[in-house]
Amino acid sequence: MSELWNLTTGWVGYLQRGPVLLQLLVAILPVMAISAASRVLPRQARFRRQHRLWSLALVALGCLLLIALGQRSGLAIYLGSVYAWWVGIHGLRCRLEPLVDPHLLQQIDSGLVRPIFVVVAGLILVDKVDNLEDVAVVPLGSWFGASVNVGQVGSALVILYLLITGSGPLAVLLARLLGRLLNLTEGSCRGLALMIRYLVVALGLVWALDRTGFDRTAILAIAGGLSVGLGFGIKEVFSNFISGLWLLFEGSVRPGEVLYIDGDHCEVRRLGLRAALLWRDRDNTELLIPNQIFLTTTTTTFTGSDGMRRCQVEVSAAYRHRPREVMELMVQTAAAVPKVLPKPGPVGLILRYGDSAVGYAVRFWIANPMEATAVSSAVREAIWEAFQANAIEIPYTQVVLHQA
Amino acid sequence: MAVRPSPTTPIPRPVAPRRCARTLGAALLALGLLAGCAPQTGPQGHGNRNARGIPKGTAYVLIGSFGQEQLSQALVEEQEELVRLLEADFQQLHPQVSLQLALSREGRIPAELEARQRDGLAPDLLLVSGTTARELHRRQLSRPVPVTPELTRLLRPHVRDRLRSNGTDRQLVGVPMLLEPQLACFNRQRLPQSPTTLAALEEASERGIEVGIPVNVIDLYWSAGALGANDALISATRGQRLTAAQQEGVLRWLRWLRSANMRERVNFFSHQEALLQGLIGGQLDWITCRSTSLGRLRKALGERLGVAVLPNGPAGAPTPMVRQRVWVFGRDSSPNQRAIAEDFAHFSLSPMMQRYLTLHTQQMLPVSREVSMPTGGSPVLAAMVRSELQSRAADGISSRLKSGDPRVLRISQVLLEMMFGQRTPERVRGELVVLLGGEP
Repeated sequence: MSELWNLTTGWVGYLQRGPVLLQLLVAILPVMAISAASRVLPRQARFRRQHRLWSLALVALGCLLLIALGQRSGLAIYLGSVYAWWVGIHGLRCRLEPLVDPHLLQQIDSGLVRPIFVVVAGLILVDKVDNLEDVAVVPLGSWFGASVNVGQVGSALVILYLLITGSGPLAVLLARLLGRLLNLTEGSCRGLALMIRYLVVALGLVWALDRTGFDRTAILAIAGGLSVGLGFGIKEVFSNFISGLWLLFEGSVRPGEVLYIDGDHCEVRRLGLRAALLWRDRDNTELLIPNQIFLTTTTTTFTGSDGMRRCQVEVSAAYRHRPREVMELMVQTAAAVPKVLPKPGPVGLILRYGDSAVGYAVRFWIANPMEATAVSSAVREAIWEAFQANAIEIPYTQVVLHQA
Repeated sequence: MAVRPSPTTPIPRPVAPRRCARTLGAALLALGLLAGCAPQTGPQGHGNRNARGIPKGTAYVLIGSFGQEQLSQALVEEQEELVRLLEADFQQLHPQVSLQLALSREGRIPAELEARQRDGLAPDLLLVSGTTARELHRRQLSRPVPVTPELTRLLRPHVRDRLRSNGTDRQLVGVPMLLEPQLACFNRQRLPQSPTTLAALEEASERGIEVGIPVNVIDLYWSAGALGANDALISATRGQRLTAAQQEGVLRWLRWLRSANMRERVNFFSHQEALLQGLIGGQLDWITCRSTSLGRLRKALGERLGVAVLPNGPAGAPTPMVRQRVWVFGRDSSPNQRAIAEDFAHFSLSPMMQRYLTLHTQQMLPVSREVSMPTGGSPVLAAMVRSELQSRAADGISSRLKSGDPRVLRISQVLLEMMFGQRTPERVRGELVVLLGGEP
């Protein structure tokens, strides 16, 4: 590690050279000065919007001046190009914002494009001040029985990062393909995508360690020691992780599933390493529930074997109406409501003979469990209209008082 | 919701400008401090040292590495070993000086240096072969060295003359530092003595000795002299017509290469590094090697390592190409860095250091005429001295065939195709003459 430190601090010596300092000033000073000016002049909105372009123009002018004066200019041109690319990426993102899902855009921009850009720009800069191939063999010491160098660790980290960030879309694509081939449900496809991703990252980790040259026996020994530590220290986290994997294999709590939690139906959005993220549409709330809860408590799911849900709407009618007529009207009315499935069709029931009225219910099926509340509300409204049209009374509670 | 101030409301002074000014100031200060922490740039000439005339600061040294193999930690340590030894002694005189070493492939150095000069980041000092030093001089990427009386006194004449520029001023393209002869390295457990003739080498391979030979024409050239092709190939580089005897000599060499490749235990490798790894790993028993690899081989093989001159052939002694390692001065140095580079190069030429490096490492031969070639005590040094003497016969071609020359790769490729039976020796002879007679 000390060799790497000596190497990198040694690069400071280039600042002894006047031409290097001059180039740094030409490339950095305009950017900082214009950035500062854009904040100093808050009312100049146009200037604030275009301050990056002004900076670029000034850097370009400075580079041209260096070339005209016969001075060294390669470093300034490179730094200016890096800034131009950076501004370009920012501009491209602004252009794409109305066209692409903002969440996806954010993920691609900050998770993939910008990190790759920073790493590549950094490596090119290192290659300018030193030989990259030479820097790659600088030793970092001996870890787990293996002598590792900058190149091995750097490439292993980059590949792992790319696997973690870039394996998501690839896993989704592969899962969809398999889902189509094997006729899997949407939830199964999402679960499969997650499992593929875990598998790719796990294999990538093993490959990265192997490529770096770590002694496998030493890694196993350390993993054994760590597992004891895990048992005591972070057993909850580990338990949640294992629960998450189990749930994925079992398939009961996968992204896309609809569960009944605390009196509300919620959709599973994501099954993470530690917890599952659920969405409750009643109040647009997201619930973060530790994975092991699902494994240790009873969970009601609407999407276990199929995605249909049976709903029930209760209503009362006066004793004077014939029950068969009332039930037929309720069934017909429910069947006419959109999103109520024709097969299996709605069913009318007498629930009770109450003090003031006969209690009826209509049960019907819907395809999307998350729409139960909305469809039930529509059925209730339609029944009220139908009762009005057919002069069927929904009586108030009748109380007979006897006065002595 | 943000409340906009009315036109009459006094606008509080924004905090941002102060913060920005502070940031800008801090950035400039940091740059200044870094420049300040870096060793100071002094005035021009010899006044660029401190008041007592002692140089201080960091100088950047680029070392050229031969071959096309991937850099490894072992290779880097091997290439940097001599400079590190010198640096350690130099720092006793100048404790405030440090050297930042980097390694690059010899063939890539001219292009790399061109790019780094555009950035102002070229190294202050380069340790390269004589041919690369000439190339850098031709492209005006290095500072020529005037032939001072001190250099004339210090350097062996034939070593110095190899580095004369072609210009009228006859300056040197660099300052020679050491000579790297080519030798035979072998495993003494498997082979008590190195074969003294090619026939003996072939016999040894018949007995089960694994022989490793590089396919690169520069490292293979020793066999050309032993088989009588040296004069012909030198004539070809001069564009002269070959005599019948010379043509026969070339053909003998090519046929030997082809027949050697047919032998079960004679192995040709494209990279010198593969030969070294083979000897260290026990897959090979006899290889050709450069003297600078001896340190690594000694560490790995210990007493088992044997070193000797390359074998003679039916036409006489071998003609190995000795590599000359030369200090070349960059053009981007600050006055202070220039002073360090010059002092360091001259320090390496001092008779004491030349003697110390030669005897201590036994990996190089001195270029200083004030250091006698030590042959008595060490058989390794004796082999190196003999190899250097043999190499003078190949001066005619080594001065024309540079390591970065595209013809080197082309000729190596043609030889390889012949050894694998894709071309006949007769056809290859004609192609060699054309290639050597042409421009690089």
